[in-house]
Amino acid sequence: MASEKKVVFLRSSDGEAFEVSEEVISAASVTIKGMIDEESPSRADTAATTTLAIPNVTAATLSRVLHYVNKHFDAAAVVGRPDDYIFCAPGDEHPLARFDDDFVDVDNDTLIDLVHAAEYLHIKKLFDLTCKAVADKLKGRTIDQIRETFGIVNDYTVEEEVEVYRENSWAF
Amino acid sequence: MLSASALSGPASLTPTRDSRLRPVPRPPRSAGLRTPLARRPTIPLLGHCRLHSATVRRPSKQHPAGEKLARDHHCLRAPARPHRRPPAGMPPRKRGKVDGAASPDAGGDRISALPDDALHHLLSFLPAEDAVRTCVLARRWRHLWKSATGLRIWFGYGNELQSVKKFREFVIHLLLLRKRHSSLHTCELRLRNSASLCTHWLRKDRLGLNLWIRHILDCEVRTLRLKIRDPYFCLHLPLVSQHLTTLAFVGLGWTDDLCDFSNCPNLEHLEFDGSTFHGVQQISSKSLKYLSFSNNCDFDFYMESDTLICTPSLVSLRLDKHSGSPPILDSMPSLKEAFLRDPFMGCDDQDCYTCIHDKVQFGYEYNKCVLLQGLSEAENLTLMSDYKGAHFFRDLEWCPTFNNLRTLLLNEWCVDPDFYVLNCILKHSPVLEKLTLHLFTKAPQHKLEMIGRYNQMERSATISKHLKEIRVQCEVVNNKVYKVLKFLGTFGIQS
Repeated sequence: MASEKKVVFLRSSDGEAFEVSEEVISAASVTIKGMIDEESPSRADTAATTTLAIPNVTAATLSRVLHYVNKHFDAAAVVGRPDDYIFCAPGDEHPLARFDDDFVDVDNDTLIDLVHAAEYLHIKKLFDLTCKAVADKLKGRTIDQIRETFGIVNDYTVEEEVEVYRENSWAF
Repeated sequence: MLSASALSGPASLTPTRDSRLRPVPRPPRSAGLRTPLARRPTIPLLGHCRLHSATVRRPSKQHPAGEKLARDHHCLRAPARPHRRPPAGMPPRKRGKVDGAASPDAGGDRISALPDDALHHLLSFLPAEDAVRTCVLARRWRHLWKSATGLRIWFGYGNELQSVKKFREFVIHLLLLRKRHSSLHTCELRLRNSASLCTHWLRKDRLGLNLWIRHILDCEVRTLRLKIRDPYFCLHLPLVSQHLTTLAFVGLGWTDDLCDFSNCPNLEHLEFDGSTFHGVQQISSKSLKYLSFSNNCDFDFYMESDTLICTPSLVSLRLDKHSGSPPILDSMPSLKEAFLRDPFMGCDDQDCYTCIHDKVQFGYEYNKCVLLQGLSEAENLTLMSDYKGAHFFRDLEWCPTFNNLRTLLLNEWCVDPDFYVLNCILKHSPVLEKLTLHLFTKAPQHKLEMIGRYNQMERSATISKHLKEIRVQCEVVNNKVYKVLKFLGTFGIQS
C-alpha cells in the first residue's frame, strides 16, 4: 500500500502519529498541503515518509478529522458522484449526509475541538459543517440558555449591559 | 496559527473589578504564535474573558472542584467575590496544556475561546436576530455579529420580529451597522408570504427591498438566496457583481432583461424554485456550471416564444416539473449530468384542447429537438415523467445521439407498446454502461429489484458493447413489467 501511494504521518499535539494518504490530505487541508509543498524539495529523491507536526490538535480530535477527511476526500472511497453534482435520482440524499449528521452528533467540547482543528487545518467543508452544528445548538435558545449550555460567563457590568441592550435595542 | 492558550498571558490573570473598567495591559507575547493585532480589536476584553476559562479549567483534574467553580460562574453577575481571584502564586499556564483542543473535558467557556474567524463563521449560520442578540452574552461577543460571514434575514418564520415596521428597522440597522469591510459569504433573505401584512408590505416597498439587495451585492456577497413567493415581485435591475458565485431564488418573477447573467462573470450555480418567467426569451450565462429549475417553474406567462437556455459551460442541469412549454436547451458541451422530469400530460386525443393549445397558441410546431438534443453530451442522465413523457417522445423523433452516456435512469414513461423509446435510446447510446428502470414505483423504496447482466455471446449488435448492468426496480412483476423483461431478453440481457 505505502509503496503505491504516498503517505504522510501527522503527529498530534500529544505525540500520536497518524498515517494518511498524501493525496487525500492535500485535497482536504490547505494547511497541510502548504506544509507538504514546503517539505517536498528536500524529500524529492528519498523514499522516507514525511511526518508533520500538528501542534494544535490532539490525537482524539485528529483521528476524528482524518475519519472525516477519508470519507469526503478519498476519491476511491466516495461512491457515486462527486460532491458538486446536484444529484442522480429523485429522493436520493447525498450519500454522505447521514455520515455528516452522525459526525457532528457529539458533545459540545468535542465539537468545538473539531471547529478549532478545521480552522487550523483549513478544511473548509469540515469548518462549515462544524460551525453550523455549533450554531444549531445556539439557535432558538435564550441568552441564559446559551450561557448555560456553553458555560459563557457574563462579564458585563450592570451599566455596560444596559448600554449594550440600548445600543442594539433594534434587535430585541 | 492561533492557539487558544496563547491569548491568556500572565498579566491578565488578575480579574479584579477594576479590570473591567480599564483595559488590561496586553502581556508580552512571542511572535508567530498568534494572529495579528488587527484581527483582534477587543483584545483587552478578550484577555479578561479568557481568564474565566482559565480559572475554571485549572482545577478540572479534581473534578468536583471544577464543577463547583463552573457553577459559581453562572452567578458571576453578583458583586466581585474574592474566590474568583486565582491563587496568588498561580503559575502562568503552559502553552498547549490549556489549549482548548488539549482538554476536551475541561468544561468552562470553550466556545468563547474559538478564534474570531470561527465565531464570525458560526454566527453566519444563525438567523440574523439570533446572531445580533449574542452581543449581550459577554464582552467577547459584543461586536462579533458585525463581522459575521453570513446574514440570514427571515421574516415570518416564527422569529419575534413580526411587525413589518420593526423588521424593516431591523434590516436597515443590520446592513448599516455591520462592519463595512468584513467579508460576506452568504446572504439569505426569506420573506414568508402567509403573513398578509408581509404581502402588503412587499407590494408597497419593492424599492426598499431592491435597495437592500443592491446594498448586499455591494458588500461583495458570494452566495445570495432570495425567497419571495410573489410572482410579481421582480428585481428592478439585473444583478451585477464580480463576486457572486451562487444564486438561488424561491419564487420571484423574472423578465427577459433580468435573465441575462453576463454581468455576474463568476456565477457558477443558479437555482430557481417555483419562479415565474414573464416572456423570457433567453436565460444566459457563460460561466454557469450548475443550473436547477424545480417546483413548477412557470415558463408560460405571456409567452410568445419558448425560453432558450444558453449556458455553454454547464456541467449539471436539473429541470424538475416545469409548467408551460419546456425551455429549449442550447448546446452544452461540458454537460456531465442532467435530471429532467417532464410534467406534461400529453394525450392520444387529436382534439385535446391542451395539446392543441400548446401547439398552436405558442407556435410549438415540433420543429425542434427541444430538450434531448442539448443533453447529448451528458454522461449521467435521468429522464422521468409522471405521465407519458410527451416532450421526450417528441424529441426522440429527432433521434438525438448520446455519445458519452454511461448511466441512464428512466421510469415507466419509456414503456410503450412497441418499446420505441427503449429501442431508440439504447441504439443511440453507444457507450452506455448502466441502465436503471423504475417501473410503476416510487424511489427510493422499491420492493423488488432485478439486476440483469449482459450475455456477451448473444449480445445484439445494435446496443452498447459496454452495457454491464440493467436494474429493473418495481413493486411487483405484473404483466407490463414482464413484457419489459421479455423485451430486454431480446437484446441478450438476462437476469
